[in-house]
Amino acid sequence: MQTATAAASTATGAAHPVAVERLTKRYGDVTAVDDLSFTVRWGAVTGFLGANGAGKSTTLKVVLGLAAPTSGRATVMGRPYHQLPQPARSVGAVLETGVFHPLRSGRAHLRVLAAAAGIDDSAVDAALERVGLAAAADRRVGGYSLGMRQRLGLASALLGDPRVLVLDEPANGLDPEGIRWLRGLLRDFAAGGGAVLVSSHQLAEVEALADDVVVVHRGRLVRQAPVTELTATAVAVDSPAAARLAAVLAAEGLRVRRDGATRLVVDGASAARVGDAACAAGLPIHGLAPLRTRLEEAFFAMTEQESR
Amino acid sequence: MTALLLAEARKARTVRTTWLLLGAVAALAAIGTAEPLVSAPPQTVRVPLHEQPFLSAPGLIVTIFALVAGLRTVTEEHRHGTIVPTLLVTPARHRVAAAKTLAAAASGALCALLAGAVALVTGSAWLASQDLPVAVTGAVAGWALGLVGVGAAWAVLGAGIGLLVRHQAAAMVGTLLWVTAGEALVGALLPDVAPYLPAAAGRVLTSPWVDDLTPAAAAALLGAWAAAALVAGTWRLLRSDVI
Repeated sequence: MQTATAAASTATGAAHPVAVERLTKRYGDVTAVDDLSFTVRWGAVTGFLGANGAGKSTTLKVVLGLAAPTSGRATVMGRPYHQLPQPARSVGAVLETGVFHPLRSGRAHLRVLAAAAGIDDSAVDAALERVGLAAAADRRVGGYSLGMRQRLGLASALLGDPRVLVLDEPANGLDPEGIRWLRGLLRDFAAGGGAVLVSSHQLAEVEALADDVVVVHRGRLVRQAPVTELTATAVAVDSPAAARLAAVLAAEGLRVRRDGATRLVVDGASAARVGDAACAAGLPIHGLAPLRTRLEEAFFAMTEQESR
Repeated sequence: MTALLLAEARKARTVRTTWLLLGAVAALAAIGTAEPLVSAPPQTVRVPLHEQPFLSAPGLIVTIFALVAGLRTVTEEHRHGTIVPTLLVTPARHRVAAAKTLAAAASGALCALLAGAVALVTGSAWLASQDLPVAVTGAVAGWALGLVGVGAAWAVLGAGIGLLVRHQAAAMVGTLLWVTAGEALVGALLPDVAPYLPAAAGRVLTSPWVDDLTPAAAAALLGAWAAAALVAGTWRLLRSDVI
């Protein structure tokens, strides 16, 4: 992964695949995005999280040049989207489901995009194969299920073999197998050095998929951090000698919090390490349980704090 | 631009509605041509081909269908949301507007060629069956050229209105009401203005005996209407967000 990331960075220059800088977007009196800044890095999947109306879709539209910012800017590979020399070969995007003519076949839809982008028609068949739609390629899109439309959207995004993917709720309508397939596709894409910015409401899925997350609430940035930081592991330990055990663990450089008279929470440590330390110090342990903050818990904690 | 035109051609070709509309153009042109020939007193058709009343039949058909074709070039994209992938692939919006303008002009010209060809073939066959002379002269070629020009201009006007209005139903209903009734009403209220309205200018080019304006003036006027709509529509495309 490191090698791929480094290679990608070298190949694409120092610019971030996506950078949003002090972006504000207003519609009349409504501020959809408010002074938002974040970056996406090469070789990583970045989850873009927020409640409905948090400004995610508006931000993605500005990133992709479909909406003009009121102030601030958004760049893709160092340039505003409209200045990319060959956008379809740089960025693949899926903004919403259903942006297909229902009377056109899946293959015809891709062939239209391929023609406009100057991409050979052979790439159409490859993209259809890649998303598992080859068998349905000549059926009208109006007869596709939501999941099939999502796959066709992804085929559109992948058509130009881009370096960056920007996806808005790509897992909507996919069945569990489809979600697993999507996860593998995006992980492979990032592992190959590409960058993925994916907005989603499915927090468990983002936790399984993303390396980083950007959390927005009411148009403002709440947090940008690696998923591992937000879902950091901890260990809860019960001991009648909690005070002495806390001192022992602290002496080992661990961050220890009291959670009751006999209970400690040790951040960033494994149960084995805490148990070994207690044993070495000759201190009794009555309970030892690993704790892990789910992304969902972290998300609600952050956004509720912002709401106050 | 070639790539964008190819994409526009594929958009039109891969939707059945396009072929249904062309079929309707051909059918209406045939019916519109046959009806006056069959019902007219014999002496009214004993005139040279370029003076035949049936030559006026394709004018309104071309006006309406070219307008619809131009409107569809743009409003189909907004109706189905495909404007999003279109602009993602080609974020230079002036290029999208230019491609749609050319595609609309081509579709309007195609409507006109089809309607004109059907009218000529139908009318000539009927005249020949009545042992009446059929001679394709320069005047007939001029009529055909005018018809094609009118088709292209109305389609560009439709594309401009489509870019401006975006909403397909609103654009279709509004413009068709104008062509079928609105312009006649305005013409009745303001007779001095009537010859300068777009459908009136188009009639000069498609009906040999309408001479409110010279053909050159009518062509320039209709072109100006189309250009005005196009400028307004392109201005909106360049300035507005795509939601």
